[in-house]
Amino acid sequence: MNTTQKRRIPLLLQMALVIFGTYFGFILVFDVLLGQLIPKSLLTMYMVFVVSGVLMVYTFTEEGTRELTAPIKALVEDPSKRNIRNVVFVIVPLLAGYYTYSSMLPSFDPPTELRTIHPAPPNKFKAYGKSFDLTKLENPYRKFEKEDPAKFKEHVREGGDVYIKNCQYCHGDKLDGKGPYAPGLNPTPLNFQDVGTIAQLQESFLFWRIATGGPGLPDEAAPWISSMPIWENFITEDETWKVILFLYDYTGRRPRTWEHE
Amino acid sequence: MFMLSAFMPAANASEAAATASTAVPDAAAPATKAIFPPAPKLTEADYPSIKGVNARVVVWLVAQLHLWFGAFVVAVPMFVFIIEAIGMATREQRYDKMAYEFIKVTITAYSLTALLGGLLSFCLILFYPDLFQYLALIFKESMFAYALLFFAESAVLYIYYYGWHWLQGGNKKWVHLTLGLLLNAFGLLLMFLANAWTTFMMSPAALDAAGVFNGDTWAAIHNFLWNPINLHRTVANVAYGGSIVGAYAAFKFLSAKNKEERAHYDWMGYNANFIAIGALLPLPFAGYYLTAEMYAYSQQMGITLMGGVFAWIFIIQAVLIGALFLSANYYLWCGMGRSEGAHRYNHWIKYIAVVLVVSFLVWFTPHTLVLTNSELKDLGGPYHKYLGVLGIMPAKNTAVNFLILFTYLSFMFYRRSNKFVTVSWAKVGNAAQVALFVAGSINITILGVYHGYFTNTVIKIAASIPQVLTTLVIIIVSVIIDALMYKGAKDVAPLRWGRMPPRSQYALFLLAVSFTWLMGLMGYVRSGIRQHWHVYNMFRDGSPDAFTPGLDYVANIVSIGTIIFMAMVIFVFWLSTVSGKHVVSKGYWKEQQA
Amino acid sequence: MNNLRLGKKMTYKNKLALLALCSALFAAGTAMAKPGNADKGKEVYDKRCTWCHGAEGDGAGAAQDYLNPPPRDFTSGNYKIKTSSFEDMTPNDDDIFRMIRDGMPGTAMPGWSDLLSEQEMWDLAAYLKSFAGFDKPPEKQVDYGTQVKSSAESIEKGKKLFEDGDRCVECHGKSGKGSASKRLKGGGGERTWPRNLTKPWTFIGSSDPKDIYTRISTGIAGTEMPSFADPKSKNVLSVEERWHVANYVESLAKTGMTVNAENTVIKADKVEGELPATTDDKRWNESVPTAFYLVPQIIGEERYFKPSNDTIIVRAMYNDKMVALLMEWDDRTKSIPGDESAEKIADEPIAEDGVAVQLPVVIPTEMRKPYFGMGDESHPVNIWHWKSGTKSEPEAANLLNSLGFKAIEKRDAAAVGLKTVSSYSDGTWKVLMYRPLTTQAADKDIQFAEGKFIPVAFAAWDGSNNSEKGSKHTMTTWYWLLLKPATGSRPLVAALAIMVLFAGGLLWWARSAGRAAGRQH
Repeated sequence: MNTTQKRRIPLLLQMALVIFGTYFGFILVFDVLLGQLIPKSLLTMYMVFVVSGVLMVYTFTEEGTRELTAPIKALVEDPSKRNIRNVVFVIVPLLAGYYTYSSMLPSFDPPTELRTIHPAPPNKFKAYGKSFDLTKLENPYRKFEKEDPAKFKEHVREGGDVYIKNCQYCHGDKLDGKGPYAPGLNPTPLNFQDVGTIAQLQESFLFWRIATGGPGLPDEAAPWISSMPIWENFITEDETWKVILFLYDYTGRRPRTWEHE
Repeated sequence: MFMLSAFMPAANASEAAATASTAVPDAAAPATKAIFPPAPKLTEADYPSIKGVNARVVVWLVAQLHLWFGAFVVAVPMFVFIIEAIGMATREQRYDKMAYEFIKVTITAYSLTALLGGLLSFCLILFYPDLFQYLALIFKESMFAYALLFFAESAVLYIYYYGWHWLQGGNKKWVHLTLGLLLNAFGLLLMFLANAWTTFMMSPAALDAAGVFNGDTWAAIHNFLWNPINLHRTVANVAYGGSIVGAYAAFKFLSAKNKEERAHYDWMGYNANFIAIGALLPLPFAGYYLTAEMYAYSQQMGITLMGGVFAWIFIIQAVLIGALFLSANYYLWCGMGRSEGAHRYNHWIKYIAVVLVVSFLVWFTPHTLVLTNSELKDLGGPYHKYLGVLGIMPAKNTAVNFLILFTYLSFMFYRRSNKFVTVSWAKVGNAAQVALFVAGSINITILGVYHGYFTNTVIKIAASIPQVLTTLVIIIVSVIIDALMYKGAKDVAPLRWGRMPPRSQYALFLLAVSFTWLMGLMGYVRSGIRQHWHVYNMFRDGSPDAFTPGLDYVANIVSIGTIIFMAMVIFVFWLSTVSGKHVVSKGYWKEQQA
Repeated sequence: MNNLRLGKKMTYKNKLALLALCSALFAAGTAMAKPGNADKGKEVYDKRCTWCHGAEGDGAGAAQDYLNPPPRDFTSGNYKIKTSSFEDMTPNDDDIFRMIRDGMPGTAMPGWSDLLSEQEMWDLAAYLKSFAGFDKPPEKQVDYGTQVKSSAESIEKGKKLFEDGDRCVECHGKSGKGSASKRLKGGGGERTWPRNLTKPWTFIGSSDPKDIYTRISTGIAGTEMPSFADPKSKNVLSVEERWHVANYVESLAKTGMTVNAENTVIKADKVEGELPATTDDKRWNESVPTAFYLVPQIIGEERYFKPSNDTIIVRAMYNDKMVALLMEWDDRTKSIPGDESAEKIADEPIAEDGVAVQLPVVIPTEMRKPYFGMGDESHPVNIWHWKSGTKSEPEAANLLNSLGFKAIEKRDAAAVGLKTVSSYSDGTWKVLMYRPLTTQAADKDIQFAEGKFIPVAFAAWDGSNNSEKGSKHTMTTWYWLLLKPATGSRPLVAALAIMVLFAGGLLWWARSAGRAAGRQH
């Protein structure tokens, strides 16, 4: 280490500052500045890696490691530090005890549910009294987009009427998942405006999700709590395809396809 | 080798293996037109059971252990061959010594592989007789060839190992090196054959609707996912083999008695880590290739893999790979302590660390967040406006490219730490490299952001290609510049091999354990995406274990497997130590009368 | 573009802006009016608004029959939420702008500020006015006088005025919950409900005292809510009086019973001795209320689109033998079929009010629960269903076991010890349900246990609002019921053990370090 260097913050304190700074930085940026809180589970994982990264940076040289651990070593070994040692030796067990106590108190937080939002679809499924092959299923109206734009527009319009009569209660007038009934639902209705939803999916996937509804989901998607009705009971096959057209048209998203354009 | 061609119409297989095999094309094919049965429809009663034994867990663990050892045994000869060749080229004996030591560890592992393979066949015949019979009929030629090939491999390995000190110098050394090449050829062929059986179960070929096989042996072997898996496994094996050998070196380093031993094993650990990371860098791309092919084969399989039950496993995978990269980088940074000139680069490390950590955070941010109820309501839905963006492919691709780029940078600093530049244009060279890195990083970022969020991309996986190319260009050009710049550069001081803190050796251990765990987990995913099928969409699994287990269950089984494997590996390490010990027990043997 | 026309418009808009500025001085939280382009507004309208409000602006969009309140008919010229005087139908541009920007809580109208630019919203406002032919700004604005700040005194005065001569009570009820003594209808002849003043989140024009003051002063066009600034009305109020009433109404809205999204668990406290026997037992005040949103049933035929209630509040207690759940929800009408006064305000045909609790027969140990809509084939649920009774039949508790809504088994509630007690008062139902913690038939009845998270869901029926069909009701998704266990001594013991361990470890470390140091010296 360079001896002519100016006095600076001890490494141990520096490290603690960096770690806590990052932690509160995350909270400040997400919870306060962006207004979208950072989930606890994710923050924990983030901090595990941040802490390991910081530890690595501070210990990869022998000098660094020695300087970092020096205060701890001194605290334990240096007889002149007896008083601080006694204080630390009281505080640390107390903290450990408190942590144990609070983590063992019965929790009133309900169990969290690991739910897959877009589960893998089956190859085939039944709806409208027939079987559909999802791998080959295509929206019969999609072709009009190029062939006959006027007709396409008409179909989109019809789809919009279906949407507003059936879907907006939950998914909202703006397709943002914030319909008037949405606050009472869990899982909350999907936000179609989001880049992570219909833009990532094929039209056939949407058809499957709409036609068979919540109860048609596989187990990993927790079909027992989904409020999505089984739409084959309420709207026709044609209407389903048209409402799909509307969803993409209104949000300006494109359905995912497997062919290069 | 000659017998082989009679059983294996292996024209393309050997191509893939990149060996100089001269096989007779399709010689055996017409002869094997046999009547194949349709895929059996099984019920629980068709699966023999032993009370108190869970058939699936047993087969799972045995297969996984076999694979771990197999991967190690296939991989080590590859770099032993290269190290031996380097030794021959440089005429530095330490390379030859190291190569020998590597192969020494392999010998015990080799017999364990064979034992576990035998056990696996027993278990399959015992617990899954109908499946085994169905597959054995389709693969009868290749299975027979496999058995014979195994003998050939054993023979070559023993000559290679026991003949090491005999085949030294001049032409003899060349014979030895050729044996090494042969050993690798056999090893890879064996793996490719076994891969074919596995991939056939995932992407069956030449089956009609009832599951009746109507192709030839080659059609069954050359199924859709065969080549992607071959590539992925070969690269992964090298990385894995490197990490296990690294653990061996760490084991020896920590138990070393003197300075020389420490220096030797430090150097060995460095080389092993180099191999592991060298192979790890292209692995994500091989992985993407495999995934893309899976999507191409069956979209449903692809979605099961990435979006369904298994999606959570990929989060764990991301975390584990994070641990891999971080420990490898840490090892490199610690390794700079061997050089007296390292302090010139030390202050840069923290910036590399920041980039690495940030890339990781992006990389394992899941698409579907685990949220508490209040968080869910607060966010107004399961999607996070900002973090959700990081959950999809383009962000991950960008992060991976940064990871690889900055890991390479760590390595570059390591290489430079003990050198003085002597060329006159050093400043220009450095500036060019800085410019290269900056421009490349900007390009990768723009590509990721643009492709990911501002185009109606069809396949986001395909969008990553220009990013990968950027990364490769940066690395290659930078290697060239460095090579020219440091040509004839002076060493600061001789490298102090052995001047490594024990911490760094634990990083090597962590690397091996993470690798093992990761391989187990991904092996489960590869097998698990068949879900309730023995042969995908053809031959249904009717056993009581045909369900997809929960994540914690999987993690537990893989952990148990990892513990067993690590215990066996440490046993192997210990054996190699024991073999070098000679105890002179005075007075035990009768004095020989001269 | 026609330059002349454009120029004319500009001057006119400028005048308007000046006027809007004046009104902005009174109405807080409004934006500065900007000239809007009706042609551009039409483009936006045709893409975003026609679905509900219809292409002609007459409220006859596709959603017309499924919404309550129905989409506004702009051609009628009735603007419910406006700050111009009751004498002038014309709203300020700013009023329209505000409704577009912020939306209307309690209706299907969302706020559009995240999808439309400010200019687009002004354009839209300009276009909307053209439907009713409003081409001049309003001549008179609401007179706000000097705002009377809310105080105990003001609230007290407001309360008197609110109740005096049935001024507000006639429709809003004594408690403000809207338990009207008469049937109300809107301009289009549709059924309307008086606002439940204890639910501020349903105030379509915000629950700020100033906004409440405006509603009282202007009335609400197209409904039976009159203006109390109208000197011709016998109920007329002075400016100051209206501020008192506004303050009083605002105080009603502060109930502390709003839904807290974080609270998804009904925590039942354990009590010694008997459980409360009535809905009004004082001990219920100590129990923490948990409020949930009720959502209309739209999953199965026949669907329910026009609910009259959106929340339910639940409390729970238990002792060593029984568990008691107290459900409380607002219902403007006590619906007793056969009762004359009840039938008078009901929509024909009148049915019974009701509430139901749904619980899984088996408490799940993993994530898998029964389907929230009455269970599924492999996961049965218990449903405790209380009905308010008819004139000839008394109220009753029913016990149902269900494997989905097509496989319902009716069982004997008395046999398992399921009992109910109910009360109705001024717009609020309270129903208390008891059941023993365990029953004889463990395969058919839920067996309650301490400390377990038990899924629970609720449903409510309003017999006076189209609930003649059992499927027409409001419901919740799964929430949790927890019988809070006693803490016990385990955490304390464990904490002490850890403390001893840590202290021991540290001392050992220090001693061995000291010894090592000693050796060196």
